[in-house]
Amino acid sequence: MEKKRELIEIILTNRVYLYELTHALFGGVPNAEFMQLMNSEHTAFAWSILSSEEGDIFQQMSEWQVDKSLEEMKSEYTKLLVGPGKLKAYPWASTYLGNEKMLFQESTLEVRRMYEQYGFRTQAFQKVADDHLAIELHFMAKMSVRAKEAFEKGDDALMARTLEGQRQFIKQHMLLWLPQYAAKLEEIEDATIYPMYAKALLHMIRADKELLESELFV
Amino acid sequence: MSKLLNNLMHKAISRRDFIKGSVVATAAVSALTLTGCSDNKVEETEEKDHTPIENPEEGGNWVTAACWHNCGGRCINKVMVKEGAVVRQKTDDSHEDSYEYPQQRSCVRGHAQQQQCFGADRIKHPMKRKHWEPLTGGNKELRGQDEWEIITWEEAFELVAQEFKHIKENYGNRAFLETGWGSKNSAKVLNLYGGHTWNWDTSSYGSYLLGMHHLGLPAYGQGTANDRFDMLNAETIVLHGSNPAWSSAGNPAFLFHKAYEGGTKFVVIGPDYNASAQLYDAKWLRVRTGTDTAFLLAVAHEMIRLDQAGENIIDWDFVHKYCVGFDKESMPSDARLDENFMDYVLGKYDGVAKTPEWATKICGTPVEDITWYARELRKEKKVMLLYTFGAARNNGAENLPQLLHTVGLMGGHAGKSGHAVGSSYARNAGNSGPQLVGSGGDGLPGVDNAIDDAIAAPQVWTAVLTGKYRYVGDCWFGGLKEGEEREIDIRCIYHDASAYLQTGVNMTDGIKAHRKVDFVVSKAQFLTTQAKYSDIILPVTTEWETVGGFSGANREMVVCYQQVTEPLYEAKTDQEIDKGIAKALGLNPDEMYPISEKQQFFNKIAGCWYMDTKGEKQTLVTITDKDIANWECEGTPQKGLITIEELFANGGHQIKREIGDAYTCIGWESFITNPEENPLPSVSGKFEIYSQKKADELNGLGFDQVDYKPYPHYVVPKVGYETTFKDGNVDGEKGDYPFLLFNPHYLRRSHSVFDNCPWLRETWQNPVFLNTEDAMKKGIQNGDTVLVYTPYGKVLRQATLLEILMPGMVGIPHGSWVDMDEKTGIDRGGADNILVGSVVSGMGISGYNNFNCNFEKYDGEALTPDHLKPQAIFED
Repeated sequence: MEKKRELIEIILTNRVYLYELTHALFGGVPNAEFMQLMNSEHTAFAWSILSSEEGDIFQQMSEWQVDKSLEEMKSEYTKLLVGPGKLKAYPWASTYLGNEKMLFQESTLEVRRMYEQYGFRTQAFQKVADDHLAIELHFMAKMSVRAKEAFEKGDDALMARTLEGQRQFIKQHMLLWLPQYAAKLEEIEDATIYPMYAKALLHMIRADKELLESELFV
Repeated sequence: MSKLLNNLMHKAISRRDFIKGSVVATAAVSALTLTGCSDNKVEETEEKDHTPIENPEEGGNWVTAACWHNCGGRCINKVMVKEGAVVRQKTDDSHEDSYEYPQQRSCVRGHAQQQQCFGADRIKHPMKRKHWEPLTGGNKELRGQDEWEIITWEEAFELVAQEFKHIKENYGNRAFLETGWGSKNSAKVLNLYGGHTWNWDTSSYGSYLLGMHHLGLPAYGQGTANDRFDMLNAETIVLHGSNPAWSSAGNPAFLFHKAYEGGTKFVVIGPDYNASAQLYDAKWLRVRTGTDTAFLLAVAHEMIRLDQAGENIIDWDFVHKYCVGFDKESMPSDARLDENFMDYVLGKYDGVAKTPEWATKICGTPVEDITWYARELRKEKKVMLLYTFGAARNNGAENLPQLLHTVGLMGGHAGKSGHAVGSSYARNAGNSGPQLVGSGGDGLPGVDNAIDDAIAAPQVWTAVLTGKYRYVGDCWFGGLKEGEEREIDIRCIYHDASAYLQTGVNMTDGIKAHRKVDFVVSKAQFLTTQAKYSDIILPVTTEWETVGGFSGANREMVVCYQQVTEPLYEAKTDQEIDKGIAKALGLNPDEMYPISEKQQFFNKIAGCWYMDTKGEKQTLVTITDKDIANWECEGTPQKGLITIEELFANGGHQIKREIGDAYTCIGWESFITNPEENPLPSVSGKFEIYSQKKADELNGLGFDQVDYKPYPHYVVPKVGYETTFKDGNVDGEKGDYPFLLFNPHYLRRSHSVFDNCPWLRETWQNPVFLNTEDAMKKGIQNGDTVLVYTPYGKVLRQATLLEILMPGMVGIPHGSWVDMDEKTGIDRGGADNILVGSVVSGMGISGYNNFNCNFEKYDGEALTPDHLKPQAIFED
């Protein structure tokens, strides 16, 4: 039993970090501190925790060091996630879930509702589209914190509700568009870092879903 | 048990070390302050129940949304807004639709407007070119190819101010250039800072910007045709160079159709049998683009010949009573040249009678069609000769406005029911007459531009590149003046209010000019052409993100629109940006904008007016003390016809018309009824077929050595049909650029706006119109990628083969954004102004419709229609 609790704690702690990390990864222009964190031992270990077989992506990630300079990282981030001009892969769910390459769609309002159900909303409310990948990851990070704190306080009901909310958000929302986004990034010839991370993120979310659906939490 | 969990259970993880390490790493990642990341966060708020949405309209509000573009129409666009998202769209449904009192229904572009505001490609942050360096620009060749970096607004304002200060101190205010159609008053913040050089362009109006009052016409030749109901009384309606179905979206095509249904015959004059011609089953008088002067001189010739042969064609009483200079006996008192129009046409001065046989070699119109048209314009026939300005946007078109009116007036077609000669342009197409309803002023002070340097469009980029231009005054503000050579040293280009690099002539030189100056800054919503070639981009809101406003519509309507959503991301309104720059320059922003944008909107509402049936202006909107309090604005209560709520609900106000009502008007009626009491604005007070002022004005400019006559005459254009031949000989061999290029307008874009909207891209391709036979000779099929080239540049477009286009014509629909392949020098975007050059002559017309070109099937990588997207694939 103690072993199980310990494992739950490790998982809950790790997902806080990974969601925070990937939020930062897709959410802002990288700087030196961020690069250090990306290439840190702890990050390598955090990825490796999700590994289930020899040579899978998490093992690869645990050995993978960003070999680009900070300047190159900034440049890749700006080209892929900021613009100006047409982005080769849009980081907004609405551009995959509807027929239009537009923001603030009905599907965006659906995402807003999912946030609101758990008491969150975007900081720049109605100015930014709610379904940007980095915002969704920030929501997941905040929910992960809530689940971990509930666990620590022994509030099983809150923990269960929060984790179920995250599981549904992954299943009913993130997995409907993230695979396409990752695939689009992979098609981009002159990009190397973000496509790799998007792929890792996709696997991370799938692994998270797998754990949330495992006997550990059900 | 899942493999992952199983694996995890067997991993040896030290709980203590791991938790400790995680806490440290999580704290570090949470403490990061990454640029752009503040947009991408959630915060805690109240929990709300998540009930599935059964009715997506629940909680939505209809508002009238701005549709503010220079599109040729003006309609009502309504959107249902729900929490900042647009979930439904509709058009005018404020009243039942009828011919007399029609709804103002919007077009495909209006329906795609949400793709502009909410387009995923909106510029969301101020941006700086990566290799830009302060005060010198750094490597300026990288403009258009460089990478970008996010900067804050504070940085943006500081950097712009620093450049402006440096330029002003070292080179003076003349070194700033803001471009546009007549950009004297735009770049307000630069005007506050001492002014800027500006340019003027004959733009849509072409030669109708040449002192029309000298001839006796209103400004731009607009407003002398009859009320829309009177079109039902015409036997023939002529659409000269006009295609309302494509160029005047909204009701105009419908208004003309009513006349067609009533039995009016239509004639369409131009290089193609266009959509309107097809709609009205019109007779097509084919005229090569840019050769209308030759065509109309021959029409005049035939009218004289037929009249002299005993047919009752010319209304001599009319011509002698209301015009001067037609013949020897009707010369104006200020004439210095003993020549008149009729004798010129008959060849008395140059030995060349302007016969159909003479004209057809130039204009390509069959001789019998010219004679047919001369007869159709006979005085006893009720004819409305309506024109737009496409035929005037040509090099060498200086004589066209005077000539077109002369031909119409020879038949006496003015000032009476069923007869007209006048413009039928944009939102006023088929609906001429004084405005019946409008909005008030915003209450802002003007900020004068202290710099008088105004550069004619075909010279603007060469002025930047060579440091020289010929100053001739301008066509929009102070009028044309005697020309003088000037030197100019442009150091900064500021794109404030217009998409001029894209929509002005000779973009190839424009790009070079952008790569020469020290600093380029643009306000932009998207990476437009000029934003692309800038150093700093300032993200500006669309009209959907402003407090609301008005746009003028046809004479019966004023449109009032409301705010749809908050400014998206970091976008600021024009005024906020101007204020930010002003502050950084140490100027007082209140000198530009002493009142809030909301107060400005309120002032416009309070100043709304309508014309009553007696022709008196009345207050439109009732304003109560409660309204003033609710708006938190300054104002005084007033009594009007409708409430603010009604104004908003209806999307503005429309005058209810009915046939025979007091608003019915006939162009020039008062002048025709009593010419002495109601003279025209010319020297003689009449229409001047001989205008000494016109000749003097043109001859004073000095752009060329042509001796411009006071009457309309033929001038071989510097570039036009003649130059498609070797040595300019129309009987000889064709030259290297044997085709005539013109820029039709269509419904995909409003000039350059909307070019990136996926819906419109799917609806309208980006073609080049080719005559089928011309294309087949070069082995080109429909859909082939075609290289079109002129001495100025090369573009790619996809071929559309047309039987309804005259041979020798090449149509490049206007406005697509440049996408220059720097390796080949070929624009894959197909921008029209890469092809249109900057030949300056006459009054400095931008010759958008008669440059010379050639084309061939393109062997390189073919174009892909840009709307094609891969299918979405979903995961369980």
